[in-house]
Amino acid sequence: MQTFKLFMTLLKRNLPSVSIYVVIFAIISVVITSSNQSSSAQLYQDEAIPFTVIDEDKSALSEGLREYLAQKNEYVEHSGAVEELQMDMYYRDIYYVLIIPEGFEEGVKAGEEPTLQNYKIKDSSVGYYMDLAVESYMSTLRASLATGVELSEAIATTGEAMQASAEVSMQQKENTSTNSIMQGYFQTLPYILLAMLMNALGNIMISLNREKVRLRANCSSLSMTKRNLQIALGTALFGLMIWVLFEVIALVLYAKQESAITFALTGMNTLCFVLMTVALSVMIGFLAKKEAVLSAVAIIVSLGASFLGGVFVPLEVMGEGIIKVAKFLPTYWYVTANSAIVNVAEFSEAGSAFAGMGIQLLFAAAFFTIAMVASRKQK
Amino acid sequence: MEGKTVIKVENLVKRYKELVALDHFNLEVKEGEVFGLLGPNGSGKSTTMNCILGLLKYDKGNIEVFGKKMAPDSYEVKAMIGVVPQEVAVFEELTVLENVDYFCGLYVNDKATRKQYVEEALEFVGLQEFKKFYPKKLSGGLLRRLNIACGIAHKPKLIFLDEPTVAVDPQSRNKILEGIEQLNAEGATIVYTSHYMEEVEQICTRIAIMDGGKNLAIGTNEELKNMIKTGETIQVEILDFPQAQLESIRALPHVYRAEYEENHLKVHYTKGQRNLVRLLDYLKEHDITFGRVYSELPTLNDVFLEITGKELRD
Ligand SMILES: Nc1ncnc2c1ncn2[C@@H]1O[C@H](COP(=O)(O)OP(=O)(O)OP(=O)(O)O)[C@@H](O)[C@H]1O
Ligand SMILES: [Mg+2]
Repeated sequence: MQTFKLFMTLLKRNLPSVSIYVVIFAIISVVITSSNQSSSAQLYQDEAIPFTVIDEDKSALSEGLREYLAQKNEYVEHSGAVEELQMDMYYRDIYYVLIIPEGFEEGVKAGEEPTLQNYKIKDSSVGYYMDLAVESYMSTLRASLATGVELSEAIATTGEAMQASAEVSMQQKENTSTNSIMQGYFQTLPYILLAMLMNALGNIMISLNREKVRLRANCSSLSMTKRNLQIALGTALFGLMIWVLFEVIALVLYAKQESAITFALTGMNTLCFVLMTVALSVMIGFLAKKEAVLSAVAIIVSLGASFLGGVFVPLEVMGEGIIKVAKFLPTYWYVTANSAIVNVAEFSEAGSAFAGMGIQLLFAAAFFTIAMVASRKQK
Repeated sequence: MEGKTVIKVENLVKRYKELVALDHFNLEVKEGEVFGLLGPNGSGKSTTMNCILGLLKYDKGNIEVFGKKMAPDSYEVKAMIGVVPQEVAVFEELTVLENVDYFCGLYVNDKATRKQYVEEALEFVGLQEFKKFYPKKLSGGLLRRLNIACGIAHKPKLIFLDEPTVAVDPQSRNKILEGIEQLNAEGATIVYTSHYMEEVEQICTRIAIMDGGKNLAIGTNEELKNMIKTGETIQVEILDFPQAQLESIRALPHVYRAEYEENHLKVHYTKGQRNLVRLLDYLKEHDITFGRVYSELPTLNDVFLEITGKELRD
């Protein structure tokens, strides 16, 4: 395992530059994720609408309704004086006033539909939102009453049911917002992988294949095939380590919000891309021969493939011509697979994602073959 | 020493496109020899070595090492060979210790044995104190020694050294030459390539003189010198030498050339006995006072000069 050991030693020498890529990317991801989470929390706070209730019924039902609205919104005590109400609404201290008429509970009990009045600030979605909240409360209550339970019990169950559904909707909101963050994480990953692996692996391949030391190794009793196998093992292991590393970072950042299937599919897609990048890096390492050439190629390829393949700029905004070119890039297939995964709830729906992964593997095979041919030619 | 044949090269032809680098080259090296390949730059020494090692494809001929036909996959034979290439071939990313360990490890799997071998090799070339150094930090001479350590750490039975002393200070050079003699004393057969005749004369038991991809002459130091007509050259310090006497000196037995320059009479002899006595007698007879007298035996340069008509060194 002498050559494998050598590979690992050379890798160690390249580790500082590798870790810089990883650390920077991890930090950026953490910053984006946390800033996004706080802004979504704020959004939720904004929806706590200051409101008041003019309760002329003073019943258990009117109280239940008020409590329900106060769960998500800000209840403001008020005397009910019309002029004061107008002032408070003018200054936006109160956005919504619900008027519960006398005999409201009785009417509901009797199966009638007594009307609720309200004042709201004109041209604001807030009022509409509050109307909806009241409406959904009342319809849930009526549905509950229809099962034949007592009013007091119906009020209690409605309160609970509404609270549960509020939590669900809240979670769904968080879900959709962070889902796009994780998608963003994996969408930018190709650039990091390309730049990092090409530099690190390319450098190692150049060191290993320098003519003088290669000839010296060719004099030895260890066959070239065995040496190449050990190098292949090293590159595969390194690729795998990098893949695991980025998967772990993603798990730490997004595990709570993501479904297992999204993780599994994204992980597979990324693994395909890592394999492709490893093959590409080995190939370029064989062909470049000099560090200066390698770093130039690495910059051009990683930036070029990332821009054209939709890593930085969404594919939707690119012209048809560019998309046609992009289809010759593995990044394109990674990005399209990554987008397709978002809408997948079952493996059976993931056909287009799998197709993208397959094409990336084809690229990997092609690059690997070219690398092998190049290594034969050296002899 | 008439040992077994270790290397046998027959009618080797190697072309680089139109250039014929080796032209029906023949060679036989026996066990226990320090065999010298002497030739000027571009004469095909490295090409010969690389063909024997299976690093180069050749166009014609036959190469056997340890009695087996040499091929790129002759790993059993390769295991017994150590190579010190002409250009330093080490990993710049690895330290001295790591380099020797890597190349030794291509032959020696057992860790404990390898550790011991690596230590011995570093001690052998005198690099123990530089173990942690990277090649960039080593002087030219030390780098050459590292290059040697990498080639011999696995204790090969047959060692090729391709101009290991090029651009090396005299101290490192002597250390290297002594080391080679020591390796030979420990039982290794050596093939030593050089264009320095002094080195080859100093350490080689047999020498092949190469030029233009051909093996011009083969033999021990003495055998080669006996092949040529040049014998000793005698120089006598004379303050005032009458030019007219030069002709008479040229007429003396075995003399084939004589000249007088810068207060020195220089007389070249072919093989023969009593040349010095006869010359000094002649000078005394003619009342010519002389100072110091030097006698030089022929060098390999004379051999080369006589065979090819040009100097070994440019
Ligand atoms: N790879 C090559 N391609 C073309 N010609 C080559 C190549 N290698 C060597 N030659 C030519 O072959 C001839 C023999 O070269 P070789 O290196 O064997 O000489 P050498 O005796 O080792 O010389 P030196 O003392 O300079 O090392 C030279 O004329 C050289 O220019
Ligand atoms: Mg040479």
